[in-house]
Amino acid sequence: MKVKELMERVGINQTGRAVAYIKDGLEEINMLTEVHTNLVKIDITKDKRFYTLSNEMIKMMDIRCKNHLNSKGEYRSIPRMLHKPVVKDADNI
Amino acid sequence: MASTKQYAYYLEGNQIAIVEKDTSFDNNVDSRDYSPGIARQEWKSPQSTIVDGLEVKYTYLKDYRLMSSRHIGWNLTSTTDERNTSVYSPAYGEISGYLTFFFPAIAANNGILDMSALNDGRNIVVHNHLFSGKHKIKVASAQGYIQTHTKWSSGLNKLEEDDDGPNPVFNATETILQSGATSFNHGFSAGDYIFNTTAMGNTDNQGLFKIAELSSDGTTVTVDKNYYSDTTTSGDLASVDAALQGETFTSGDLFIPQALLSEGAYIDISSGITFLEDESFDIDLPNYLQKALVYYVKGKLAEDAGKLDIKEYFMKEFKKMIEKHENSRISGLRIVSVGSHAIR
Repeated sequence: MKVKELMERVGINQTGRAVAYIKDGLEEINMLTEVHTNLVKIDITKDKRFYTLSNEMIKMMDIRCKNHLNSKGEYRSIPRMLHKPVVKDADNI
Repeated sequence: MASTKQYAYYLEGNQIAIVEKDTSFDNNVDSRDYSPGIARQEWKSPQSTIVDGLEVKYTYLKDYRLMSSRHIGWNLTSTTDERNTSVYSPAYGEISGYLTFFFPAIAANNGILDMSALNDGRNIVVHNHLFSGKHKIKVASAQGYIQTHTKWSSGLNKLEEDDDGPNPVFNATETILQSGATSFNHGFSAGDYIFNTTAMGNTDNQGLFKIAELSSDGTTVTVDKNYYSDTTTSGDLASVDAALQGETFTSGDLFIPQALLSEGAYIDISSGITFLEDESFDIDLPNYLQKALVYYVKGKLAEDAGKLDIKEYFMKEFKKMIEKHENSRISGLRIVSVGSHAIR
């Protein structure tokens, strides 16, 4: 469906406004269901605890680490901690 | 064979914190951590570097379509690279507060790649784990970088000459020096990367370098490695010993921003990409969800008009359609697999 057809169905003739709401709608759809997904790989660096998440991320679906609970080089989902660990990261990096 | 590790994560703002269970035994009897029982309970920052060790899967807003098959390469200027719809961008950083991608040469100690074939104002799609998505070119420079309109307060450093000091000097001993400028190298650390975007007399003095040492008087940076784009790989860099040429820089302001590496990242630069900007864009959604999107837009328009009951009706229909779409993908019996933390 083209934007034009959607505008006709909705009954709106302001393109800018329609495009803005379509973008909002696409975000909402990706929040509720998974239509467009992306998988990125990031290097884990020794003593570096914090990794910035992508700006385009709408909903995080899974986090996997290499060799988590295996020694075969497999990527497995890692659990989320309920509480922050006692050992803090000294340099906050 | 790699050893088994145990990771966990927690969130802090827009960052994900990765922690690893430290299983090393502390043999110091004076330590509070003495005994395996205590040490094994400690979650610490990652204990080792793992290339591509972390995988993050997420949903994103796809408001563009690539209208041709993708062909990723390095160059834009050579006739053999005409087919390139995308280019690898192995390094990035910030120039004047804007996100910038750096393009080292495809040969060792050979400077930078000319990116001026791209026109300013063109939309591009970046595939880089931090900045994936649509961006617009602000400056496509012959000096090996593409500056975008995306604002980014990166906190990265830059080497910039002090206008009141003597001219900066590049030496064959792999040093960049400005005598008397006692804060010339401040803010950097050994191991940081810098990308010289300034037009130099010797191309060898341009491009991507790694800092080896910083002088304590603040005037000198010593580099050890020059990084170049390795065309035998899929977007990786290779390095050789740097070979700076003796040169005194006299023609303007020397400016060398800090760079971060993003090997394997690439940018779609084809003019054949269409963006969700006008009425001709074909919305990239399954057919059924396109109808749900119609309800969403109707709902938002009703909300604008203050008709909240009508808005609620459309939003209810919107959510109902999404739910039906979700359920339509599930059929037959379900199999429950053993959880990763189950007793085996």
